[in-house]
Amino acid sequence: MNDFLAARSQMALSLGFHIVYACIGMVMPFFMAVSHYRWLRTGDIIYKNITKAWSKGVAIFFATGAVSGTMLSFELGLLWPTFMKHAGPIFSMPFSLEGTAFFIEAIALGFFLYGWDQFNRWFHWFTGVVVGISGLASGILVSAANAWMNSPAGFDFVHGEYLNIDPIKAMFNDAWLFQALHMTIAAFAATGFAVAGVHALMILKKKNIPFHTEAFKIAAIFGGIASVLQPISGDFSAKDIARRQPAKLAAMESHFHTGKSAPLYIGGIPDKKNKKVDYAIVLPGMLSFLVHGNFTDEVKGLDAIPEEDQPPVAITHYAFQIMVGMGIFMMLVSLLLFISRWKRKWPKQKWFLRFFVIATPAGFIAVEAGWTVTEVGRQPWIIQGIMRTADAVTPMPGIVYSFYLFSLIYLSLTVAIVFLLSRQIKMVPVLYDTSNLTAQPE
Amino acid sequence: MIMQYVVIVYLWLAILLYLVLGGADFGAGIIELVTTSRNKPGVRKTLYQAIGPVWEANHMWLVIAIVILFAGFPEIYSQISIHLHIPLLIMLMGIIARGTAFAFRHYDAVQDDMQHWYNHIFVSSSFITPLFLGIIAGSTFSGKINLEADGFLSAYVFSWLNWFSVTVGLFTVALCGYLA
Repeated sequence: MNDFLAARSQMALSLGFHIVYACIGMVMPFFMAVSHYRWLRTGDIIYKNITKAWSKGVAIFFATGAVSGTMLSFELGLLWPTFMKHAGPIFSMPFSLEGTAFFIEAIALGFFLYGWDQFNRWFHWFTGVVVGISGLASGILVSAANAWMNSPAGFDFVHGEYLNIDPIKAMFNDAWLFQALHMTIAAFAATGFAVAGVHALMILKKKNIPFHTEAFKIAAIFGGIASVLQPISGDFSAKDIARRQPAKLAAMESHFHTGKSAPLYIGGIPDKKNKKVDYAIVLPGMLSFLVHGNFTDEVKGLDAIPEEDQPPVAITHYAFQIMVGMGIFMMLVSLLLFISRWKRKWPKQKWFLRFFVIATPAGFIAVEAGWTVTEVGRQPWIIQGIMRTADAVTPMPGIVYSFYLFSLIYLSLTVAIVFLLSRQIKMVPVLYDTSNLTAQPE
Repeated sequence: MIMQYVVIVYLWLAILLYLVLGGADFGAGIIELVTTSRNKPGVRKTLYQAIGPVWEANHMWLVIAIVILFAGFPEIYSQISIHLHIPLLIMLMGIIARGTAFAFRHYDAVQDDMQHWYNHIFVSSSFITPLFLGIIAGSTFSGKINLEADGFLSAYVFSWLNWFSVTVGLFTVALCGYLA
């Protein structure tokens, strides 16, 4: 592995790690707010217990997300100093606002976690809502910063110089809205399905059923609504990418030849040398329809892009197929959930819950695959059309070792967190069994 | 030109607040390090009550300082990142180890031998992080960074591994302990 590849891998690993914690930290507060609201309204102790149990999980995820996010703000410079030297002043606006939002989030989380029975009940509830809103704002701002790399704006690039910098224009670049929308909905879908899946498993194992059923309902409804909305937002994003980054779209779809009535390939193995896709299901004209709204219009293929500006086709294509596949699966499971409003027997049946158990990791697989699409699909550029990733990397040798070290850290942290969460979940019957109120902590 | 000074003031404010507030959090770990094992459980409890609710928020001053640095002085940020890569990396690992160990030891639902590990990691990283923070600060303002150096050691190691920087690092550790 050379240093350049190591630097890219280390960045991918760090982002891939952080995104999971960021999503959970940003979405869980909303689940907690709903369950907390029900506790305050109905006085049913189950909802209080759910809120408390979730808040412990969130505290672990939040701490990990906070430190892994800090690492990222340094890694940007450690690995890509040339990029930061030029991009820093231009796209720092969303980062500084994100810092502020995170600051508010951390303070509000402190209030929320340590404020049980200390504050006015509704003020305490409100601090939880503030955690969610500021987390959401952070996510949107970071997506806006990434969108700038896909759609650079707010400066004039003259003879290699970055002039007339306008940070506001840079923040509200062409890509920010659809990218932030897609990411936000993805976070809700992924977290909703992950949480619902864990609770569904516990119901199947007959552990404290009333507790897990109520928790399941809240998470599944959030995840379900998000999964149904996501294909719409995905359609916006695809049309947007076709307009701004035709190379990325062509790689996603393995679309080698520019032409009218462009076909859509589902699955398949892209063969870059012979410029064709093997073993795919081919839907004639469908790509033109998805991009332009009719079956005949022209879609730019990879042949319209110089060889040295093309992204890796296979990785982008596979990642895109995985993302869409997972998205469709989650959407179908969500439909079951909505039909179960009328078929009231379903939620108690094993097959229904099993679907949710199977779908537990689906959302996060889709999130990781989606980031792979957007990041690998932008290659070889770090700033689309302006700066190449290879020109941005640090001159320091030996990044390979730093990559190994980071892999080790992230691996051990993942193991530690899975271990801690499984312990939390195992303790639910002891801590939150309503028939055994004396075992309550505090 | 006046704008530069405004930015520098904010940058210093962020660094100062990080050192005072975040430094006290590191210091809490340093106090735990020098406490006799008999008194440790009591110290741990007090320490948790003192820094538990605030350390994440205090931590944000570092991120704010970094954002101001790369927005306002990107050239400096990029040179520091290149030449002080190694101490920055160690500091980052200290930050991640300390934060997670601290959260894990409180939120682990079962109290068993794992606590021992969390404590060790928390205490040692509470020492290492401010040490390297000080080393980075010392190397930055002492002019030890040689921008022309081309050998690996002279460019990436001796920029920060020198008596002055290490002394500043140790001084920072003492300062954090004192603050706490």
